[in-house]
Amino acid sequence: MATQRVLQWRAFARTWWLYDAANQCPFVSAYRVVPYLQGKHKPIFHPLSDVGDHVVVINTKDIAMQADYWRTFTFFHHTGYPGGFSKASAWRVHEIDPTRVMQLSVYSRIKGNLLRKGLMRRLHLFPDDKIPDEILENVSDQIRQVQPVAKRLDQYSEEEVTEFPKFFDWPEDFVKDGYKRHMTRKKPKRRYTV
Amino acid sequence: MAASLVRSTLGCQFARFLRPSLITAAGQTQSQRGVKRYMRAYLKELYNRRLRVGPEKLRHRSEFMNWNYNAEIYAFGKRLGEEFSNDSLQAAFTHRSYIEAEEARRADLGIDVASAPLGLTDNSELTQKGEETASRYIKAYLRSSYPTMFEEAIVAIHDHLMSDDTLSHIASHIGIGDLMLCSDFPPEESTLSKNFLAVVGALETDKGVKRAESLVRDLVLAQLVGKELMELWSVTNPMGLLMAVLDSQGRGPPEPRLQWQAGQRTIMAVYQVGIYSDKQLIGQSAGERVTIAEDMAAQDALQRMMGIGSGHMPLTFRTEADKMELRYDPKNISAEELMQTYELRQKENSVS
Amino acid sequence: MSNRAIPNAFVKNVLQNGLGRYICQLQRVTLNFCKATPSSLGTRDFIEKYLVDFTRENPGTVVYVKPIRNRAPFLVAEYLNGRQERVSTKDMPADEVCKWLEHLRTRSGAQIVNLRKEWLTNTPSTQGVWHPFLNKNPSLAGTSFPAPELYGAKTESKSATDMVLEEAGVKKVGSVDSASSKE
Repeated sequence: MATQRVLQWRAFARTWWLYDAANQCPFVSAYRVVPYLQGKHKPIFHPLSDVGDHVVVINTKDIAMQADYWRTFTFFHHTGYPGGFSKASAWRVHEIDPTRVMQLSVYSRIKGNLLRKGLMRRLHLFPDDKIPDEILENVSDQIRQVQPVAKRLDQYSEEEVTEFPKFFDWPEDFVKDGYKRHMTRKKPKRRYTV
Repeated sequence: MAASLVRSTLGCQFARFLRPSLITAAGQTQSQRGVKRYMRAYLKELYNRRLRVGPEKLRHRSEFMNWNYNAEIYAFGKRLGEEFSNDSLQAAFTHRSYIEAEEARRADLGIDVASAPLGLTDNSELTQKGEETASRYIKAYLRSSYPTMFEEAIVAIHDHLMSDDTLSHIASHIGIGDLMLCSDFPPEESTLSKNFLAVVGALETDKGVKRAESLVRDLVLAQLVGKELMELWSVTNPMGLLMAVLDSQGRGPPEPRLQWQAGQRTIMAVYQVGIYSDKQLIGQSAGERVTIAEDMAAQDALQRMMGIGSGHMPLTFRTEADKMELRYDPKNISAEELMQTYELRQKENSVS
Repeated sequence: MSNRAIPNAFVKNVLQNGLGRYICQLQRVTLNFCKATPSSLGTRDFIEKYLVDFTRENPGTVVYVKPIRNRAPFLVAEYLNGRQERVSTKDMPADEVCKWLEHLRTRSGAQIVNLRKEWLTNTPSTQGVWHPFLNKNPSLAGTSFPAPELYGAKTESKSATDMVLEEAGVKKVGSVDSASSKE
């Protein structure tokens, strides 16, 4: 009985996973994270068996949206009351709450059934890498990132930059800023303000 | 529609009586269209009066008309697939309490007990015989099946199998309850278990030890299948015993190591501990706390040493078991002795 | 469909019947019939033709025959677990009574309910039940989190930087291989 008890306890143990969202697309990350919340990575999975794990997402303030989504992707909200409709661009939402974009992308990725709220409670979001000790001590595994993060120029050391092999260089009499003559614009482009 | 309404208001139990059918004087049923409303109160009152009177009195099976004791006794023997002699079987089912009750009854009626004896033998002798055979066989079977198992574990499993709980459960499910002649009704657990052992004794008298042992194996030892044998033996200090065992075998001391942990700061914390001896894994288990995990890991190590637990061979039955070579007398290693020798050795080492 | 309110049970085998020896669970059977009425004709035929053979083949079952005037015939089977089953044999021919008796003989006496699982086993798993630590690399237990060098995205193809460096014959910087080997 005691043997069975501990073996069952171990089989249904909840793992706390860490996910670093820095420079990752929130929608693709949500696609990656949601199966862990549901428990689909376990062979004992059943939707009603509550076998989902916890996921701790860090660096949500550093998420990366594709193309011009920061400006064009709109989050809508309706309070349910008349005149309760509002919308905000991704950059605006991110400005107000740096974890909200990640939260909304995970929320909309999960199917809208009664299990969703429970799964969201097991998602822990942090804007930077400062995690409370109680949560960090629980973490026992990490989820791989979805997008390779390229190294920025300033992250390379000076020797690497100078010693990088060069296969081509412009001719000496070439005017490098010549293209700018065709790229001037007299009237500023209208930008979204929402 | 009306009938369903009635059913919902009065409860499903009672509404059975409100089905529209009329029983005529001739005893034939005639369907009628609906039930008159005044019937409801009357039937409800009848129903409640019957409930107030209480349930039917518990009667012994022999009080019903279709009962033939001799036929029942004969069928009992045949059901078990054995050939009993009628005398020994009759004696096996007759308890001392019944004989005393009968004699008292006859004395009350004025019949002289000496001149008209009952002529019944009670089952005390057969019970004792059966108990000895069963006890001896169970221990021998366990010793042969698990040669590395500690004697204390064997005794614990034996005590569990020979307990009143187990034997009375077996007895009641092979039909002994109806055949017993005893003063207590409903039958007590102790009476049932004694009766079962008397049946074993009766079989031994009629057909010999081998057949009696076969019966014990098929009915009693079969109850071990699916049971956690480690649960039946409570070890107070598994780690201490493990140290003693490894020391006696000349192996390195047990070293528990935390292998995995999850959710440390939550109530669903899990720790997995492995026990190593000479850097070889000998036992592994999990627990809600590190101490529990260590304890269970030590028990797992002991289990593996004894040859029990998941992944080990099941018990043998049928023809295979008949061919088993049993160790009746030589006992298995004793855990107590091992621990005592280990402690002495430790004392000697510390002194020197 | 299936509902928690509908009675259901797991398969059970009381006393591990069949493991050692098989014990027929039918303790006694009573045949109630009328000697005159036509509805008991089949039952009477059965008693004449097949009953004695049945008793010879099943010596462990006690058979009672109980004539009752002007009542419909029925069988009552009593099992070792204390339960009873009644089968009405009214207007049944003798061979149908045979079939019903055979059905009652081969039953365990347990109540017929929906089975939650068709099988019963003491060893549901031969290799051991899965648990979260089963197939994980043991080095994971000693890792401190976050571990960015171990959990960066895997790149299947080489980056342009890697290709340039390879062309130039220089040792790779931040190569693909070191990330993939850690998994």
